[in-house]
Amino acid sequence: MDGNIGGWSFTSLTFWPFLGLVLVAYWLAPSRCRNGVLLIGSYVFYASWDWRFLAVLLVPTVSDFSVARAIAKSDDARRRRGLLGLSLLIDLGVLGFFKYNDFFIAQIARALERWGLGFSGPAPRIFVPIGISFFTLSSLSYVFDVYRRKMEPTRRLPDYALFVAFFPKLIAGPIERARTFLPQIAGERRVGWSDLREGGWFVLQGLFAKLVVADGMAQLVNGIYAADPALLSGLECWTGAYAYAFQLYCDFWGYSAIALGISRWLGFRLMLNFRTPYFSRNPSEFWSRWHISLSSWLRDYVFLPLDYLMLRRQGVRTWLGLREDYWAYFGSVFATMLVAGLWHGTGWTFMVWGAYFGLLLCFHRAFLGYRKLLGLSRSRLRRISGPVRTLALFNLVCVGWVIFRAGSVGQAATMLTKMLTDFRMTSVVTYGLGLMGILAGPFLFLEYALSRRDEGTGLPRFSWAMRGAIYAYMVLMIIVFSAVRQNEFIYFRF
Amino acid sequence: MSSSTSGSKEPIRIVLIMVLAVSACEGVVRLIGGSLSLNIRHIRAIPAIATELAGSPKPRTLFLGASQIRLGIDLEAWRTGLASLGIEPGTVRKVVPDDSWVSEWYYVVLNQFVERRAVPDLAVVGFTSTDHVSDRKVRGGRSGAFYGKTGNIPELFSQDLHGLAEQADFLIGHALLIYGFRDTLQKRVGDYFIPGYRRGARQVNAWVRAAPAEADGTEAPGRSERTYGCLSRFARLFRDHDADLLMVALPTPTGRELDPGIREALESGGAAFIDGRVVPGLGPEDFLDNVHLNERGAEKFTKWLVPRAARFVVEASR
Repeated sequence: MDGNIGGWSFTSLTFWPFLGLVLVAYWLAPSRCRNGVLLIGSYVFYASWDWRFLAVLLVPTVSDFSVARAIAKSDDARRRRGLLGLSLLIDLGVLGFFKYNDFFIAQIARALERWGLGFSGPAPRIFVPIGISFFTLSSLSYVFDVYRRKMEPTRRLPDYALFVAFFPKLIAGPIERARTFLPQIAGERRVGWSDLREGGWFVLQGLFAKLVVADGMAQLVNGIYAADPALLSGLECWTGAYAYAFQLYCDFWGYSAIALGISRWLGFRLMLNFRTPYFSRNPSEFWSRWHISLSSWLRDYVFLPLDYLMLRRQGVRTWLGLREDYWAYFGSVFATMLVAGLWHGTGWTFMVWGAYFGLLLCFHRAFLGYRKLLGLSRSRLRRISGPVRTLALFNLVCVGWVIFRAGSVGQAATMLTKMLTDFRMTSVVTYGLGLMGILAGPFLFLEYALSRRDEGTGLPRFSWAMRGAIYAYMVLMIIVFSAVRQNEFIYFRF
Repeated sequence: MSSSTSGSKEPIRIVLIMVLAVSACEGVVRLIGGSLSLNIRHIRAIPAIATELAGSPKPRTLFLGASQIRLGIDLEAWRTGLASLGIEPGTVRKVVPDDSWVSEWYYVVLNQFVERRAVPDLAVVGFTSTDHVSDRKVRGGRSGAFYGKTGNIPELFSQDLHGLAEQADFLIGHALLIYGFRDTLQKRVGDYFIPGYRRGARQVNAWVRAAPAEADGTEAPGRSERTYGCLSRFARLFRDHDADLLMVALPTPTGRELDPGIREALESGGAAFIDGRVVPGLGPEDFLDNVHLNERGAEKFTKWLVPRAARFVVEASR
């Protein structure tokens, strides 16, 4: 573990004494004071990264709390829409200023230079408050739900503040919804023996995924993506793609699992953010299992409104053999995935990645549409065995990760071309595949076992001896195989 | 999410399995660590080397360093060279833990030689890179497992291990050999199970090193920013125990610059220095790789070193 990763990351040693103090203070405090303990602890946690970030955290807290109450009090549709617009302006304005400012200034500067109108001098550097992409969406969902009359606004600002700032989920999600989380804050919480056990399982699994698998893949991925892509072999590019697939998943799942575990110790239930996504069989299923809190947020607040809008404006027609609801879906899902790309980052690679997945989802839906036209029954399609479909989808996802991880669109294009044309075997390939087999293989096997049982990633229903063996394996792997140098959680950068 | 049905004894059984598994692995590694690694076998033999030196007549010479000294000094050539000059070579031994540097050598000398009253009369310490002698981030786990003791904690925590993570690393490495030894364990597993492990890892590391630093204003410290606090302490350690320290810059096939800070640190601690970076007659054919001499090169270099180090051996005899 590393105490020098900025702030109190879950894998930094300085986090755990803090957590211990919070747990002790929380459970010793009278029940009416526990939310206050958590709120103070959450602000201290956030300030450990940079105390100035607290000001940014308070903006959506105060503005969305006030706006939601004003929306709920009004019956005037125009006023309600205006208030919603105000909330969007403030939240997205703050997010855009901090997260996208550098990117747009750089693009404008580049364009001006190309036209001979370049300006000299350094571009202003704005530090992005950590977690801003996550807590902004969380807070926005609250305002949307109040606007749609799906919930009543809370009257207690401290409760709302805790909903936004709850430290286990503050930095990298899950992006919780107020309508499931606020009742937990307001209600009585109990922690039973099963919560302690399941919390412990999640924390152990998260530390294993992050310290052993994700950080173990990091050097391999960094090396392959640092190399000149023109000199790499296609198999090296594939190795980098697979390694990054495991690094990204285990990094993000690791964080989410630890957040889930800690929350269970505090009596809260966060939503599951991943459900063995690499065992999905089609792009739509993948997005119902990968970063579930984000994909469901985008579905509810971007895709469905867009889809509704597009359907309302169309009559009943058929283009190229597909009904217009298909075309509405194509437009909505493609736009939603572009938003997903933009949410992840400010580079063109993220936009291309979003477009790529948008196209995959469109093709999948189109295929389902044409399946009926071509008379391909479900039973005939099911003859294409599950493992083949799973493997095919995994490779398609990895192609997307190449774009996602690349430093530029050009690098991604070169690597993808190589992946289809150059099959030279090198020592980096055998090294990389061997490393993945040792570090990620058992984890993947466990995921497969859990996916067969459809248990998500909860405490496996194995015998105590099997569970003991699994835990012992994870602890030993953490002791022996945790990377000598730890890396920052990847999703801290989004 | 679901939880399994369990009795009250199940968690205890599960924790017991975990403790037993970790203990079993620790026991196995402590038992057969020597056969897993020549380096561990050598480190475990250091107390015996110290005891042997303590009981030997003067002059008692200790060659200290990493693999560059292990391969780069020919003890037979040293003895015969001194004898040809009419100097009694006395007892000569090597302590050469692999991939070690000055902060670790310091605690080897402190714990294995000073505490056993076995400080050699002359310590000859060789290095090829400034990294061996400059202040670097101490590997807490390794230090805890092999070089440091709990009695060193005040000095370690104040001088060498800064921050909770490094200090915790030391304590865990001290308690669990599998933790302190893990980089070797990882390499062994890799060598055994992964084809092309070393070659592949070297290539990947080369790509990472060649990558430009991120353009965020942070840069690696330049040479002028290197410090040698630990080297000064190392030199003073010998001076305070009436022993002589002779630092030798070893040759490499491509040559390198020497930071003036090294000489200043040695002078402040009363240590001597021999610049062996360029040795007449040594060519690329005398090296195994970029840093290690081969057998013939070691003999040539040792013969070159003997007349330059002779006076120190003579002084050590008194």
